[in-house]
Amino acid sequence: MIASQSLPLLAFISVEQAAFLLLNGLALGVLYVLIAAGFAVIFGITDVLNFAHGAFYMVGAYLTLAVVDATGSFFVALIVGPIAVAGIGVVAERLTLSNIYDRSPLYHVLITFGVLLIVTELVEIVWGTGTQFFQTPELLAGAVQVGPIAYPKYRLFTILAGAVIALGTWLLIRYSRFGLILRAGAQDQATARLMGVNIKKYYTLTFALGTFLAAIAGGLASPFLSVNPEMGNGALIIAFVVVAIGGLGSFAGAVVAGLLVGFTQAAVDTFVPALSGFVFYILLLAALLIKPEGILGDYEIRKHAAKLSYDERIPPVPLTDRRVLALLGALLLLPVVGLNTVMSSYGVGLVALMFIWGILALSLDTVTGYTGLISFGHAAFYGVGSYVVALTTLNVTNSFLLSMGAAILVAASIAWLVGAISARLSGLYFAIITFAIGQLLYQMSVSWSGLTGGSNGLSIDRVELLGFVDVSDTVTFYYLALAMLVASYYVAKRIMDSPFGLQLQAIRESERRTTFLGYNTNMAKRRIFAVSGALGGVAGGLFVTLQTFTSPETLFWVVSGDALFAMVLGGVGTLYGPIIGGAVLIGLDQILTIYFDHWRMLLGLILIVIVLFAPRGLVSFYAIGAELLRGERGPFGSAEPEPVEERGD
Amino acid sequence: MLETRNLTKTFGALTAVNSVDLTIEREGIHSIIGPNGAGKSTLFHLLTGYHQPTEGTIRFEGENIEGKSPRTIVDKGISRSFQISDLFDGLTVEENVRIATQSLDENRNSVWKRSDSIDSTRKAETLMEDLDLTEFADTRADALSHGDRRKLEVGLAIAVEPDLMLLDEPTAGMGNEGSAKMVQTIRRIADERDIKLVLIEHDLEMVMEISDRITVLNRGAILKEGDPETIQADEDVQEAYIGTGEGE
Amino acid sequence: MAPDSLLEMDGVYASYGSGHVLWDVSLDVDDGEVVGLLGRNGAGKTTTLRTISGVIKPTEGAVRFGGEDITAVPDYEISQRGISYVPEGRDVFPDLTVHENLRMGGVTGSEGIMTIEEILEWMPRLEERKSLKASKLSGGEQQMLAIGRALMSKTELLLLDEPTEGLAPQIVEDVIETIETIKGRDIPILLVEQNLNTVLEVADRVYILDQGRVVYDGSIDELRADEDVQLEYLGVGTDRSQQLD
Repeated sequence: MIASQSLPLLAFISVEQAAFLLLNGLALGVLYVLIAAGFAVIFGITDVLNFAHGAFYMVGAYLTLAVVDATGSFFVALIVGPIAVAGIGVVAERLTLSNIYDRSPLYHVLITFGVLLIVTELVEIVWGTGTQFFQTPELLAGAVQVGPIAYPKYRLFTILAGAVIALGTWLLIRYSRFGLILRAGAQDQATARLMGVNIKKYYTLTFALGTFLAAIAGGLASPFLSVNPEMGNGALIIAFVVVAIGGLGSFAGAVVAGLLVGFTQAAVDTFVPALSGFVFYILLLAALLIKPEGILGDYEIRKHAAKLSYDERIPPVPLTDRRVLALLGALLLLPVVGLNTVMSSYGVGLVALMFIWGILALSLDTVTGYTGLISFGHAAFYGVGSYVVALTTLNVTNSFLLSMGAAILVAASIAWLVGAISARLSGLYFAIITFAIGQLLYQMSVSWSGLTGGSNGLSIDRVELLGFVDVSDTVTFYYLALAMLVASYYVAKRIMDSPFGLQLQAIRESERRTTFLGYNTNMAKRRIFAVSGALGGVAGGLFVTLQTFTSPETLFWVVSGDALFAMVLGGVGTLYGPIIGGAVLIGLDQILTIYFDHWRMLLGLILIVIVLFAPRGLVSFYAIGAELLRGERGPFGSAEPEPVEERGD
Repeated sequence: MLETRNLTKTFGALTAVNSVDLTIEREGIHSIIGPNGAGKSTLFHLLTGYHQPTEGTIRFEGENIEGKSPRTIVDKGISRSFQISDLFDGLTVEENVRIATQSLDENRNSVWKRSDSIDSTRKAETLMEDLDLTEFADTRADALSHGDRRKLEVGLAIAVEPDLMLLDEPTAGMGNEGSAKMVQTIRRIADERDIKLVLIEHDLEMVMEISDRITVLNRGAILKEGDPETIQADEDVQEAYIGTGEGE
Repeated sequence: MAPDSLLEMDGVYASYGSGHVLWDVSLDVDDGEVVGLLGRNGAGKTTTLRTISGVIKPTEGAVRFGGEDITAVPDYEISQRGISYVPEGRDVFPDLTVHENLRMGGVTGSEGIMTIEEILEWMPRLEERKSLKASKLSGGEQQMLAIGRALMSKTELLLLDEPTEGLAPQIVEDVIETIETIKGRDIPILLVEQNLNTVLEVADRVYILDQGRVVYDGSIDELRADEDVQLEYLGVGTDRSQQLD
């Protein structure tokens, strides 16, 4: 990502250095402003956190490059490319977001995540995964004398172009008829409709503008960055950080914050290069803790975001349910009967991995599905769990019980802390701060290579249970993972059936009312976060034990996104649904990847279809199917007895 | 029982509650009336810790409670209902009531007991019977009729066993008959449980009938206070309510 | 009911959330007349206006405007066709300036009956405050702004929902004067009020709603004379001491 490619700086302290610092800070700052601008516009008007922003930025770079190749003109490309991307944005918005603006932000996050997957894979299909280089246009090559120093022309051009675009966008929103409608619609959709405005059309246009700005930022950035499918990740994080620091919903705030982050980054790159990768996250955490509404934000969190609510309650299935017992029996027999007949040891390992993802998605469901807090940082607990088990095994003991105990403890403590920091924020701020904390830990795992092995990760060998059973054996591990899955489900269900669990659901339905009944809702949020973190840590600890390897990938935000995906795929707010979702997701992952290079595109498609048409996920299919079945089987009286006494959560 | 001195709340340039000295005695029903925008709901928000006062003090049972959190104020014995029902929409009626009665249970934060087996569950059942909501125990709150939602709204405030209960237009949007029945139910339960009632009400007829004391707010300040007869005869009050008189 | 009425509601049933329900409501507004819609709190007056303006779709029955069925037409298009709705509580855009709020009124480009300049000249208080954010205005000024904003767009029928609610007596006079000016320009108005006096002052005809049903319709003079109706449905005695806010 961009931050790690810090601009080269002179190694001496002088007037020249100061000048470089200033210009580099300005160049970075303007670039950040540009990258964040489209994201800020879309969020400010429609309240949607567009996770596909980085993908549109990347497509912008590719299409600009393509137009340069076709026409030979960089300047033509800088206009034509982004317009084409805006067209793609319009199509994407009409097919996805435009149908679900009134739903919980959880679904906005997921559907744009789906768009991200599809767009990224399409780019890989068309252009491949390799890095492409962008020639600086001749007119802008070389350096020019600026006061005491020679400075690259292209960077000066970026500063200028960025300033013009940012100012143009601001003027458009501030003074044009289009901008007036957007601002009015952002304040009060219903009244804007009474003025004769078809607000949905303007939401589409807003999305077009946002993706246009993302693409032009991508086009402008590409000559000094390499163009590859990964480039969008960095841009997305920049957009997030800048917009959150500037104040959600404030375009001017994004400009101020972009410049602030740019200058800070340039200064840190020069004076404390060791902290280079942390600038974003430290600034963001500081901003959210000191002034959570952002520098210029006046965004009313509670007013806009729709809460997560369900049309239908789907209670968790009790472990004593006959179908569950049958499934467990089959799973117990699977390695005994299946190994070397229908499946290899790899197959057994795969099923074990499905259990692990089941636990991860389950852990997320306790905070998101039940308490209504959208966590976009569950990778933190998964990754921390894996690192703690790896480090304990390498440095202290190879006893699985002890290392897993340590993992649970550390993950729960971090989660408690995350809960404490974020508890007073709600809605989208909650998603952003959990995202930021997850990325902060990711950055640590990359940077603190002495401890973590850096991006190479850590390998472990033998892990033992009670000092004699080798857990590294796949079959043994399989039973261990299954036992932990069952235990996790039991604990989670028990909690949701308890007075505390009822409290959590009350918080999801109305936190205000829960407070007015005398409950300490912040304490409840901290506690459930700790529980959820512990479960996430269990998943991560199991993961490293199975793979005998962990890396920063386990902490990367895409894991958080996949966990959300798994939860909704299976059935949010049902506890057992997310387990199914986790298993299905990881199963698809491992199987499709064999046959189809770009299977994540298919996943994106599935995600979008689920969000649009089956927001309660796979379990709702099952519920519908079961009803049909019961209806058909009714006359014969052989329908499953309803587990009435175990119901109620 | 409750006493405010110079209670003031400003939102930017707007003074929503202006130097209100309100005394609520232990006995009888006290109603707060006034035209829309008079500051009645804001006053409730201040008394229950939802808003922090810009100035002034609130004493409840001899103890200062201004600046305290809603949670603390509930613990001290003041509960409230909302003008627009704020229920746990996705949960059943029984769960709604249970989450409220459970707030006083020693097992309120237990993670291992079953929430429907702790002692306060029985209290929830009794309260549902008192409110005549038992038949809807398994109905989701958002599937109730408007009248039953209003009842549940008040029920949640009753369930936390307050000494003083502030009801913000409990009968809002209900027909005459429903309103009358609802008020009857509330009075009966309040009597039985020894709860002091303070009402914000729109329906003057009803207010005159049931109140022992009435405070009239107008544009953030107390316009008049007294028994129903005094208020009914007062010309300033009529003026505030009716706006322009005929032929003026 | 005349078949060529400007606005006709014909046997409309509607529900909104819970508790605000219309039962078989039929009413009409003809060109050039001001029709009052009275009733207690919760009688369904606002729901009626929301149904006409397309915010709520009737479950049964039809709404016709200028002879065309608009029952299924989306709210923004109904506005474009010439029904301007000033909702209860004004709903000005709080963070837009007075001037921007007025511009928003005419934003779809359809012919308004007044220009911004005319409105500001007519409402000097707004002229003084035209660069202020609407949230900084007093209640009365916001009401004037909301009415002015509505007139910026094509207005063949004006729906006013409790324009005098919560306003000081002097300001109420101003609002009534404004309504009379609009009436003087032959713009038909459907006026929802709880304040009987306002309606008695400006309306030609009156409907009374009670629990979602039309229970009375008649001319202003008939209503003025009929104290039983006033008492029964509006809770107003001649001494007015029993008035419901």
